[in-house]
Amino acid sequence: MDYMTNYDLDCLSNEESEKINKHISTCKNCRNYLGALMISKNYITKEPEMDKYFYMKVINAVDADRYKKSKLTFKVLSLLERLKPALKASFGTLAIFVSVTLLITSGIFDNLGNLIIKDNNNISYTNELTNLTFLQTEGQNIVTENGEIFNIRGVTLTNNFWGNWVNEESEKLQSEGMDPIIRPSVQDAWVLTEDDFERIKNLGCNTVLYDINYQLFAEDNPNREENLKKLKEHIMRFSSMDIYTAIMLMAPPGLDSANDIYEKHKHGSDRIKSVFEDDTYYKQWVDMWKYLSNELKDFKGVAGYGVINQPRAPSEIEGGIEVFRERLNNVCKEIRKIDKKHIIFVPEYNSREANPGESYWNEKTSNYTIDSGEQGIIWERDFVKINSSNIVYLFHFFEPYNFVNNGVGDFDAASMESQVEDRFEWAKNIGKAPLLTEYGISRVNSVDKRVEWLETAHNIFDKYGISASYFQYKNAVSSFVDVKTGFNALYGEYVSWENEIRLNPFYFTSEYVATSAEENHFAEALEEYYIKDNYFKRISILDNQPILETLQNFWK
Amino acid sequence: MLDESILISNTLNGDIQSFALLVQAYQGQLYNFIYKMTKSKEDTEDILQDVFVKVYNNLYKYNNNYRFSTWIYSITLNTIKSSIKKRNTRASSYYLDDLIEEIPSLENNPELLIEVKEHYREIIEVIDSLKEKQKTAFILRYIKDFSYKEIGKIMGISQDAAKMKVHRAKSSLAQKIADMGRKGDL
Repeated sequence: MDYMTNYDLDCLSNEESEKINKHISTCKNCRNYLGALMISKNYITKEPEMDKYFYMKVINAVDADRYKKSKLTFKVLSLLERLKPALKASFGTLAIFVSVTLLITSGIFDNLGNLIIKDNNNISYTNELTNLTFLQTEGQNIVTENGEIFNIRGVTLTNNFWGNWVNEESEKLQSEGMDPIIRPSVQDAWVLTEDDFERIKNLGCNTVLYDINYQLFAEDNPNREENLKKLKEHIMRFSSMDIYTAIMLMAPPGLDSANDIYEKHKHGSDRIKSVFEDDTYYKQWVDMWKYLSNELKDFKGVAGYGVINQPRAPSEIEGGIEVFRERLNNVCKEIRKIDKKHIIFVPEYNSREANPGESYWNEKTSNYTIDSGEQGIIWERDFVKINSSNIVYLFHFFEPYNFVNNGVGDFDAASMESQVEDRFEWAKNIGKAPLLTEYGISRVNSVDKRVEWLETAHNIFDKYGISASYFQYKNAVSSFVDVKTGFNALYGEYVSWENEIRLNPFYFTSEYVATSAEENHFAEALEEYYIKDNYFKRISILDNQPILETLQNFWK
Repeated sequence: MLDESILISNTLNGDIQSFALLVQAYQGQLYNFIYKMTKSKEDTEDILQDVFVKVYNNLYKYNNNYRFSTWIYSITLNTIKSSIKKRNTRASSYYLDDLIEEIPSLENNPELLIEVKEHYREIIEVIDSLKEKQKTAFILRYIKDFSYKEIGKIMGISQDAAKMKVHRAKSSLAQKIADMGRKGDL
């Protein structure tokens, strides 16, 4: 065997090579050794899979401005490093002389002093790797720092902001007629995976609307710092792909668009109060934005802050539109005190509480009813003007409601356009402000109809130069969610299959699950889109490929 | 191909994006090196992050008369050593299984596949059982085609000593293979 190990097999001459070939044809041990050496090489050079975005963690961990702050200092230190061996060898005295001369002539004491002071100041740097610049408003446009018009062409990441069913606690809430779904205090890992980043990168959108709920960043949440860290990492991931992230508060403290489903039928005095009605919720809301804007103010990849989702204006007895206007203005003012750069997205109210004597549609009795102090819900929408800079007004566009959400009737392009035009004119008349819309269409409609509606909406948005984000990128699918009407996400992600189905062979875990899956059209979606050739896909685009293509065409 | 010297110079001029490119260029191979040395996925990422932070903070000390790869591997090796001392690094139970999983499948011959995998496992175990310095030299020799001079520089030993370590590693491998042959494993 020594025969072989004595050769350096990586640099054999032709003659040696021939000699070895001859030898191994008769020596089994050496043949085995050569085989083992080849396997060893193969094993050593084979790189295991790793997170290819690992470099971002590194960049996050270093002081990005270390060399920027004191270029000269490090140039001199670098020179001294190289002189070290020579200096060590024989020029002890000279070394000191050279060093001192360099230090004096380059003003290194000042630079070192500055470096130490700066390090102690704990200045926050974002360490973003991005070509993005801060966005701002200019007339009715959003523009980059270079003055180029930037229409948001985005997709919304809902991030499961409404939360999860939590045994016992949810059952208790349900029995009390409350929303049983608990808002998350830590985000589930499935909401944004490595695969999602890759997929979103390839979608071609320029922005993501990143939905959050108040509880994630509540002051008393022990996970707040961790949640913030994750949020920053996500912002940086997107900004490294040159995709902006708009931080959108979907669930504020108190009344939100999800618990309202349970609250809207109650008497006004029994209802969960909104941030416009309750001082504690209001303070929590403002404090959360102060915290987030302070933490995110230097991020170029942040498109802006969506202060609240689909708010409801209170009745006159609780301050009416005036208190709504005042509190929205205040939250913007508080953000602006901390963050002068980022855009703030301010929504129209999508409903208001009726005042005594006003008529409202009573969903319980399916009749118009005259309000006698119960604060019935009037579904009307309007903006209020915000006296702050860099404001973009936000409206939801799921019109006509019955067609888009329930597949009832049809749509009319002229009527759709007039609704957009009204808002455009309003924004023009208050001194010119840009608009952002969030829009989408439910799967209850056929693929062709969805494409047709989307193309119509896109043409209108293009015509008026309106920023737009498609609602939504993905959502959880399960046996307990109606696949046809439950969402209008591009991708459906099946997140709890261990509890609901078994594979190889496939079956539902119980009769109860199977029945629910049938009722919700989930069984057919599972067969058609999630199981192919015995292979289970956790995420599927369902029949949305033409929708994706329509969106990509709009995003170009 | 990215010019390392330009990336280094840009980084020293305050361009963090250039450093990110340097990290991207080295992260895969250094991850591999650390993983093969520590056999622990859990520790590999932590050590790798420490390595790059050290590289960044000390980049002004790098002497461009030498190859950057030699310098960065030398920092990596020192970080592995101190980490092993500090953390009492342990191999993941799935370490070997993970590596063996990567063997191309022989769908038509499952029996042969089992045999090949077993053989592969034995050879990896031989490499892992080498004396630490022999293993280091042996892995460095093949991971990036380092010369003996460079291996010596990375390990802080002479060129001849590096050559000797690789030679001894190969001899051990040969001996184990011969033993296996005698036992009828091969």
